[in-house]
Amino acid sequence: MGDYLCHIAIMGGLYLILAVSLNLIIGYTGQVSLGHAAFYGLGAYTSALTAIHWHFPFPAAAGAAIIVAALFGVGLGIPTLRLKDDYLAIVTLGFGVIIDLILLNLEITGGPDGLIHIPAPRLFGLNYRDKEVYLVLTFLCVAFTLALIHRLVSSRYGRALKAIRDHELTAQVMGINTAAYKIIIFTLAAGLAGLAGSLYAHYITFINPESFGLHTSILVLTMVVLGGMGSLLGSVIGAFVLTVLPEMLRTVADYQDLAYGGLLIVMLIWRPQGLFGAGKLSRKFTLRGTKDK
Amino acid sequence: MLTLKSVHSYYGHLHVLKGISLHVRAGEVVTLIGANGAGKTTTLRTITGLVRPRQGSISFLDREISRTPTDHLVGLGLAHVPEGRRVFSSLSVAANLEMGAFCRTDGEVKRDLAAFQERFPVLRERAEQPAGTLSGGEQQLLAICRALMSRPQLLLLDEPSMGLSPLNIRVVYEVIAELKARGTTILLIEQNARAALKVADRGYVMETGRIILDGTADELLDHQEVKRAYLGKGYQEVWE
Amino acid sequence: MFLQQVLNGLTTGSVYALIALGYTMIYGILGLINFAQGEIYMAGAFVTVLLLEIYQLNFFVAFLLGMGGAALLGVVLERVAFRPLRGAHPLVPLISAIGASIFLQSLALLLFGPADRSFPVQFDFATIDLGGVPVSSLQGAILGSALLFMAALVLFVKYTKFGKAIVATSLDPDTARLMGINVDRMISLTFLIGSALSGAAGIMMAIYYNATYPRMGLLPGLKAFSAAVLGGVGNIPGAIVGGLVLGVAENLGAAYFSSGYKDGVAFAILILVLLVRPKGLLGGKSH
Repeated sequence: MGDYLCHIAIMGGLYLILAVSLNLIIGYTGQVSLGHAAFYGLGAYTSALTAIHWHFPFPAAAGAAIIVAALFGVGLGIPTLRLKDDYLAIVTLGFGVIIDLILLNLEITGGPDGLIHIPAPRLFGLNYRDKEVYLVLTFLCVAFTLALIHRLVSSRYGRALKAIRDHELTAQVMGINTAAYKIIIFTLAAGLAGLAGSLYAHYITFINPESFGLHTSILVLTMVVLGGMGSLLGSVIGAFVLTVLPEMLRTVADYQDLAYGGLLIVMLIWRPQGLFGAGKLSRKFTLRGTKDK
Repeated sequence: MLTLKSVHSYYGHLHVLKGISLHVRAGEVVTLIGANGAGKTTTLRTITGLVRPRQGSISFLDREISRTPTDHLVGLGLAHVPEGRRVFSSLSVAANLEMGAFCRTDGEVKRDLAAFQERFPVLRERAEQPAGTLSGGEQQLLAICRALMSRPQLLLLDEPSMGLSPLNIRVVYEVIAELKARGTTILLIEQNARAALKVADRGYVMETGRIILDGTADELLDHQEVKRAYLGKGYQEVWE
Repeated sequence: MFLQQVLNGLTTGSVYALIALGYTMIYGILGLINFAQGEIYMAGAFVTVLLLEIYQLNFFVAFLLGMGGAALLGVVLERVAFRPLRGAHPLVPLISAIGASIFLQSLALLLFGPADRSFPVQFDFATIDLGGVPVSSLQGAILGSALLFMAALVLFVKYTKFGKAIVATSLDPDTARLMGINVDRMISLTFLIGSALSGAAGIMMAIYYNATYPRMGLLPGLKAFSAAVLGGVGNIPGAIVGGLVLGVAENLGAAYFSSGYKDGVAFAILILVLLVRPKGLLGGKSH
């Protein structure tokens, strides 16, 4: 497989993990998080720093990335208990910006220049600078992510989550600890994003705050919206479409953002449930005709 | 002046009005009474276009208005005092009255304002205070005056006695009686059937989206069914 | 030093306040956060800068036309990105606004390129000494005109028929319709006014920093939102107070703690307010 195609596939896989994890938040708490890339960044930096300074092998570095990101996920999850909709969205945005600023300003993170010389993984004696090998690694992580989420969704926890999403008050009355579940979702989503970050860091081998800012958060959100909020398959498709298409249309790189912005608006007006959205949550997002006019 | 013919209205899938026909002649006071949930408020909201009728026709002064946007109706002479009064709470009392006259282009708005303040001194005393600080009864007065500021041909009143103390109900109904004496045409929605029938010329009784009875106010006051359902024992005796 | 920072803070703060007024008015009447407010600010600056560059118009004319351009953009934005979405889940218009924001930014990038443009008209700004504090007449001009706009808005809302109608519509659109108020028109008017103010803010900052560029609205837009929340969203005097307080806090924070985190002050305040007192300082409305 050509190097270039491998690259697209790897990036697609990373964005897939990001999109699918963001969809967990949107699909199961019904809230939008505009700071998802912050977890991506936290994972990337944690993995990179532990590998560079403490010589963590890849699995340990990735593990650290997941844990750190997940911890911040708990932190972000707590305000969700008190805030809703617009306000929460802005808080998540603020969170993303603050993390961005911290990464930009701390000495240890290398400021705007970021970190370089991040060591590639050393597992099973394979050469991970070979893109095909890294693709396999990415693929395994993607498969793990999808399997995990699928297990969650079809488990008893998944049903509890659906109950919370659809009828929070009823769920509370039934004794389900909605607060705990919401925080778990944020933690899980953040952890997965952290994993993606770790993969990114050891793949590209240099990172700087630019890849983890608001722009990326919104890109991931676009993928989720395109695919359908609450739809797992949709996020998968959305991620690939929005990774592959721009790469193939490199010549029109300048128009990318224009397209994202326009796409968001058009999708919402024309088909707010996304390409694959179906079911209750999507109906929540679908236009209800105003009852009188 | 106002005619409804077989009007059907829905809230989503809920069939709330099931073929309502009624009319109001100039100078009359007509009341629509019935229990909670009968569809009385929906009837008014359908007339003023806050709810669009799916079937049937509504004509006002010989003009079909079932498709007219709500904000055009004041200009045609139709004013609606909504259920729950709905004063603009952070606007001053005076500003609320001015909003009532929003559509008027003649220069006599200030004069009318002064006249209302004359008749109801509380409106002058509290002219600059936010309308939300007024008591329930005062707000009701404000809401009625606000509607009257547009010099309407027909006044729609939705449950003016709701949530008011007996004293305030009395005051409000005195005002309604005054308006009647001055020849204002009124369509009055009420749960308090006795008070409504005492001031009205004619009435309709509504139950679950249909009109089940109609007649002159006296006829209805004497009617067995009405007496049993709406004027029965335990009912608040405001006027006795 | 302290007074200097306060003064700087009041200057940028008054600009935040102007943008915050746009947010607050739109939130008041539609219950939505116009994420693209920063881009409207940017549009105002660009229109003025371009008019001055290409046509060499009189400064004041260009200023007014800049405000007009921003106002027009605001009205169009409402029609295209928000009106078709009325009645949907509240997050839908928020995402649409985000989409609009990205779209407008990249459009500007495509049309004008990323480089900073300096302001085409050079002014002679004197520095006055006010009790030991050097005050630039530029700051005075900005602060003064911003306060003038704010005062005009407050008077408009309190004393004119349409101003009161906008408040009425924000409070109770159905009853406003019963008064004969055309709600759609009031919404457009709100966007017009809010956008004009943001446009004016953009022009002022284009002069103050001598830089006009497509992404210039991103941070001020977000900070102004924080200011609006601080003062109480939906509350007009609140937006003014919030903006001024934020500007001062930002400058003092940068001077006495660390300049690198200056931009973070706004967000820190935002998160604090939302967690501790979501209604804001002067109490806003919830939708």
